[in-house]
Amino acid sequence: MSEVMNQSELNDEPLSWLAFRYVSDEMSDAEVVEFESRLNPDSPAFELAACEAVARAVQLNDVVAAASEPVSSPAPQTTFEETGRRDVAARRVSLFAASITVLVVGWALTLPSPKPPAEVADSPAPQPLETESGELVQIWADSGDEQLSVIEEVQMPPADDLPEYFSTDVPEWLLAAVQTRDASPASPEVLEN
Amino acid sequence: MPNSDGEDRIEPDSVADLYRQHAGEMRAFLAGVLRDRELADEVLQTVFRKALEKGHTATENIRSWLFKVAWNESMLVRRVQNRQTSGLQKAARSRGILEGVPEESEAAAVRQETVDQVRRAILQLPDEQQLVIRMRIYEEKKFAVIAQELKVPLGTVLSRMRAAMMKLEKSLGRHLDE
Repeated sequence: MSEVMNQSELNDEPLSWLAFRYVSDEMSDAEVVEFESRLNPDSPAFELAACEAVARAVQLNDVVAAASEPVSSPAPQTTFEETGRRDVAARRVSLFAASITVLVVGWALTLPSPKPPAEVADSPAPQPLETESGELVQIWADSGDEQLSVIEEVQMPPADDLPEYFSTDVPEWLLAAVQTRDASPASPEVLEN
Repeated sequence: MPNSDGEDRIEPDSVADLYRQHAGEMRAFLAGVLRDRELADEVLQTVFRKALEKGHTATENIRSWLFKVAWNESMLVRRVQNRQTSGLQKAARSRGILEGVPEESEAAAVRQETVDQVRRAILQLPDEQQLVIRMRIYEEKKFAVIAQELKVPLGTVLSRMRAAMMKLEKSLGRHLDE
């Protein structure tokens, strides 16, 4: 299709469409040469808008590709028997863990309580544990449902296949440069952009 | 920070800010020119190293300067590589490289929001445009193949694709600018 396009037709095409064809490899060699002259800063035909259009075409292509993917298949079904076996095993593990906990706590209670250090003994008496824990329990009880609903609301399915265009993690070498600068003595350096 | 020539370089903090602002756009530009995301990521690092070393010599807008450096570095890489003709097919495959990279939840949410918006926008397109979009971008078929499979003229496929992309770009303008 590209061969039938002449120069004037190419210039009439919207830049974004040309950029899409460029990144999709849907241009003839002649068209590629012409379009790349717009990307080349040393060329008189250079256009910053063409560079921006290429970036946007790639981003659009990727987002559309991610959006076009079929919804991921549901988790494999487990049979009732499998679930039942897992439940029995989980109950056994829980019972064992609870037994160990009771034994350890009981043993700890039989030990003589250590003397508090002097500075701790001199400090003001702490709030009774009952009051503090009671308040915490109340706060937890009051806010629990609300927090749970918020968590449920913000849960979103991941968009794993989309590239990191929105990720702005600074590379490690740049962080190292910043740290090196911070570690060095202050100097009257000029910020320049 | 004065270099060996006694010139003041751009502060690393400022380059880090530049990276945050422009890395996404530069990476996309490089991927479009090089048709290889892994390579694009490597060149991206070079571009911002150059910004640290020579950014202070820029006489134009720093974003224009970054595009200029990105182009020149791409051409250097291209000279030592055979030009790949698989277009974004290779790029799309190399998306997997980034799959294991952890990301900030905020960025993931923004991406998910963008994908959801595009999905809605695609569903609003006429069926024939949706089909062309899917065959070209998701199934990675060339326009000529799509025309053959759909038994329609190539011009019809191009018109549908172009109309669809224009609409999607318009609906996505805000997100892509971010």
